[in-house]
Formats: sequence, structure tokens, C-alpha cells
Amino acid sequence: MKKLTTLLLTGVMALGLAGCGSTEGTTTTGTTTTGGTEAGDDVVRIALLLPFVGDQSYMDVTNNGLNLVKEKYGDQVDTVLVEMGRDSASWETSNLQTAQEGYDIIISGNFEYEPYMIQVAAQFPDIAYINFDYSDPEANKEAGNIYGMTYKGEEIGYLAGVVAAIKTESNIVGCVGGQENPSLQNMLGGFIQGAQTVNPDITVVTGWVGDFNDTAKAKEIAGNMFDQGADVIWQCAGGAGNGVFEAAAEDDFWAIGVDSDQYTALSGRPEIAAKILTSSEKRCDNAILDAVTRYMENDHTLPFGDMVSMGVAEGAVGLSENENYLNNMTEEELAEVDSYEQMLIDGEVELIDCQANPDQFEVLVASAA
Amino acid sequence: MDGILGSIFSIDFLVVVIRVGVPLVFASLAAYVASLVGLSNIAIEGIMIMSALSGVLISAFTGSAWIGFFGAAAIGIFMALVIVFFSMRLKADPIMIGIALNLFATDFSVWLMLITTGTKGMTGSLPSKVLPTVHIPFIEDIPILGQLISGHYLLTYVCVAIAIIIWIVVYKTPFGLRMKACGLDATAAESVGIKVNKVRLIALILSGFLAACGGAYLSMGYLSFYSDNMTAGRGWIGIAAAAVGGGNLGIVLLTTVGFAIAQAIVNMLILTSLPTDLVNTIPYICVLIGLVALSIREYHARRGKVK
Repeated sequence: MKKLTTLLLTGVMALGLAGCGSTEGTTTTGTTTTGGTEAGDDVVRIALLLPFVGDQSYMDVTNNGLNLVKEKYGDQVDTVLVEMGRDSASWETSNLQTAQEGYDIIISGNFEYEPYMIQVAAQFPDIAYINFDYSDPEANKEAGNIYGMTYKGEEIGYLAGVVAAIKTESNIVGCVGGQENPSLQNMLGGFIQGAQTVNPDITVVTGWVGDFNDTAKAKEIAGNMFDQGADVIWQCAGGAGNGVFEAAAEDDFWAIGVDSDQYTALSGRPEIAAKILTSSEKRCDNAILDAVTRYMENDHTLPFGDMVSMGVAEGAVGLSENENYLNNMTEEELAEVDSYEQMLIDGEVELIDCQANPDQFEVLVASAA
Repeated sequence: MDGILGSIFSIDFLVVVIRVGVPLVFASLAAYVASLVGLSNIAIEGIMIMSALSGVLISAFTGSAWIGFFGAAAIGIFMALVIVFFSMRLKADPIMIGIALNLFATDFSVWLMLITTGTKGMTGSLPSKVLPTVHIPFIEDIPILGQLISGHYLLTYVCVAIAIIIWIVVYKTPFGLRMKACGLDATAAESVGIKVNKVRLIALILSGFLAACGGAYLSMGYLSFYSDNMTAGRGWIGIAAAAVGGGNLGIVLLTTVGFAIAQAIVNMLILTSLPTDLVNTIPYICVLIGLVALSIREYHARRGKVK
């Protein structure tokens, strides 16, 4: 009897694992499936490594970078997407396998899986590595063949703050963060600065969920902000942030999304999506195109060891200009947003980087309270 | 700060506590009935995840919130039956099955979301339905009472009703005594003719149903979609509350409500300049203090008996 129990229990476990395995194993999708370099020396082979795609957010935007590259260079490039799976145990193997297949450019990044890329990159000095969203500059530089990019979080926040301050009628706006960490503080700090650029006397209410999952808690926090008078609220809290959208639909205020166009992600719930005015996007796709263009135009090499910050000026940060945004903003309001965006590009606005100056965040929060 | 004190002592705050507390009460009741009969159900978090998601999916595909809810309940009961089958038929450790189910639910829910919506983050692309909000005629027009009693999500009333029924069953009926007997000593209960397996089966079905209600409440009322891992540990808080209360339903509910009150206060304090990480520990510290106070009381009570 005991044996049978063990067997059946193992069965349940295995089923569970198989359930994830079918989607989370390393899968390769792309235009070529042939190994080796027989595709020819003049064709640049590019691989993008992501844990998964299909989140209609960060991963999908990043994956779109390959499409942009393909669009621009056509037959000159071969692009392949490698899905590494959600389990971090397979990330090193995926990196190693991809490197052994002899790609010219391998793109990966993000704080979660960049360590695996860095580790493998050092063993393949001939491959050009692009880190599309780095977090540890020292480790990336050390590898010697990595060109790293990051996004100006303060500019992502700035754009959201500008829109919020233009749209608010109560002169009180809110921002909901996920887990309090320097990079999110930087984004929220940018939001406060954006709002203050438009209206120096604006009140910005700041709240942290404490994690990236608790959707219901984010909804309560947004509701409390609304009770305090906030009528435009930006969410920067991952999955939990969806609760802010729900609150926006219930209490009837404007919500602003982050990282990707969240209006499209809620297509099945038009009454909620309608309250998402716009999203302040990390355009990883434009950043990837920018890096690959540099590679193609720079005699097939990159300034390795450079860790660059991409922002509004490079097209790597921008607002989603979907129908909802265009329908709900007047011509004047749109022109106003454009002018503040231009001010940032022209350097007329100097933003404080709260990631580099952590003590500045509290100062900003206090100045807008 | 004054504003916050003002809002804590208001009727709106009680409404918030009810809203925040219901999924926690469902979870702690689910843990309570299972532990009462001596068969731990630690899969509550997993059941909540699966029910929250399946309620949304089924309601989106059938176009009916009710079918969605009953589907969610069926999934919850089915998962509880898995525990029953493996632990009673095959004599496996219920804790192990619980762990297996929790792990299974976390990943399987993501996979299920992917094949149905094409995304792994949330089900916002599906036209899912929500259970109705109940407005009681006449009562809703009474100033304070109306606000307190009327206008909640349907499952809120279900929650209160079930809590009362469980209290009556456990404390006022022979079946309640049998449940406690199974939990205290299954062999002894068996020897006096109680069908232990049958009692446990009924309790676990109820436990699965309650956990499913908690999940459905989150995704089909409180919020109107499923977002990855949206239960955010509520199942575990329920298990903790059941452990604090032991066999005493009153203390279980008191702990849960205390936690809900603390959580509602936290949601407001988060908007002040207090450090977030510290503020977020308040509910847990409250439960810890309650637990210590309780064990001190029990310790004294026991010493009193010895003397």
C-alpha cells in the first residue's frame, strides 16, 4: 500500500512538473532552425533570450525588437527568439546552448537573468552580447564583450507625471509602487518631478504595495488615494498594479499604466481599459534596434563595456498613443505633453536620479506632500 | 495623521474591514474545519488560486457568473477530494499532498492562463463576469445600518451565513461533537462507532468549498479579473489564524478579523511618510502579540488546574 502511495504521489508531482514543462522548457522560435554558420558570413545571426513571451508587456515589447531589426535589415539578418522557461535552473544551459550555436549577436538582460548571460559571455569572447536592460554595471563591464543598456526610470516616471498633472482637476495625483527599491524609487521620483514641472504646487500621494502580487491591496491603496482627492493615479507595481485599474473603473478616476501599453492588455474588459488614459512605456524594442543598428553601422562591433542609459530622446521611453489616449486628451493637452517631452529632450529639465541619490527620494516625496 | 484617525473611527472603515476580511475569513474557516477533524488542509492557497482563476475562465467562456462560481466551487471541492483520497485511501501524509497541490496550482494556473488568454500575467483580455452586489431593499436606506449591512458582494453574505452555520454545527449538534472527536483521537472515535472517514470527507468537502469561495471572492467580486498569484498569501494567513485559534472557532475568527483590521489600517498608513516595509509588518506583529497573549493565558489556566 505504501509503495502505491509513493507512486501515486510521485505521479501527481510529475504531472505538476509536466504542466509547467510543456510551456517552460527551452523552446526556440524564429526564422531559422539550422545550426552552424552555413547561413553565410554576410548574414548576421541574432538570438534573443527571454524566459517567456506572451505577457503583453515587458517581454512582448522586448521581443518586438527582433521584428524591428528584421524590418530594417531584412535578409541581412537572421533573428531567433529563445524561450528559456520560467525556471531559473535552465537559464544557464539555455545561454550556453545558444552561445555554442554560433550566433553573432546574443541579446538578453534584466536583473533576473543577466547573471547567467554574463557568466556565459565571458567564455565566448567572439560573440557580441547586448544586455537590453542591465542592472549590475560592474559585472557587465567585466565580461568584456557586453554592451549594456538601461532605461531612465526617472524619465518613465516624468512622462506619467506630466500627463497626470495636465489631466488632474483636483491638483492631487497619486502613484502606487510595488516593492520599495532604488529603481522603483527612481521611477516614482521621476513621476513627482514630472508633475511638479507642470504645476509646482501639485500634491503627489505616494504609496507602496510591498510586493508585486497583491492586486486587492493595490486596489485598496488606490481607493484611499482617491478618497484623499487624487483623480489621476499612476501604477508602477507589476501584477498588483492591475488593482489600481479596477479601482479607477469603480471610483471613476484616471489611471496610467507602466512599461507596456496596458490598455491593450485589458481588451476583454472595456469598462476597465477605458479608465487607463495611457501608459509610460519602456520601449526595449527601440533600444534593441538602436543597439543592433550601431553594430551594423560600426563595422560589426559595439563599444563593449559601455553601459548606456536610454531615454525619451532615443525613443526608448515613451507614452502609448492609443485610441483611448487620443480620444480623451484635447489637442491643447496633447500639445502640452509634447512640449514637456521636448523640454526633456532639449535638456531644459534636469531630473534628479533617485537611484544614484537614494536620499533625494524622501526629499521629493516631502516636497510634493 | 489626524485624517487617518478620523477615517479609522468611521463607518466607512468598517466597510473596508469587511471587504478586506472576507477572503481571510473564508481561508481561516477552510483551515479550521479541516484541522478540527484532524486532517490538515494546507492546500488552501493553491485551492484559492485555482478557484479564482477557473471562476474567471468559466464565467468568461459561458457568459454566466453563476456557472463560473459553481465551476470554481467544483474545482475547490475536487482539490480537497484529492487530499481526502490520498490521505485516507492511500494513507499519505496530508501535508505532503498539500505541498504538491500548492506547487501544482502556482504553475498550472500560469499555464492555464497562457493557453486561454495568451498571456501569463492576467486575464484582462477575457470578458469575465462578476457575482452580483447585494442591495437589500429598505435596509439600505437606513443611514448607518444600511451602509453596514447592505451593498456588499454576494459572497460576503455567504461568508457570514456559513460562519454562523459552522458555529451551530460545531457547538450545538452531535455531528460537531463527532468532528471534534475525530480530531482529538481518531482511533478512540472509531472505537465508539463514529465513521471517521465519513466525517473527515464531509469536513474536507466543506473546506474545499470555503477555500474556493475565498478565491472566487477575490476574482469575481472584489476584483473582476485574475492576476497571477493574486491570492498573495491569504490562504496561509487563514492557516495561521486557524492554528492560533486551535479548536476554538471564536478565537479563529477574532484573529482573522484582527488581521483584517490591521491590514485596513496599513492600507491607509502606507500613504503617510512612515517607512512602508515597517508598516507592512503591522498585521503580522498584531497576530504575534495575540498569539503570545493567548499562550500566556493558557499557561496560567493550566497552572491553575494543576494546583
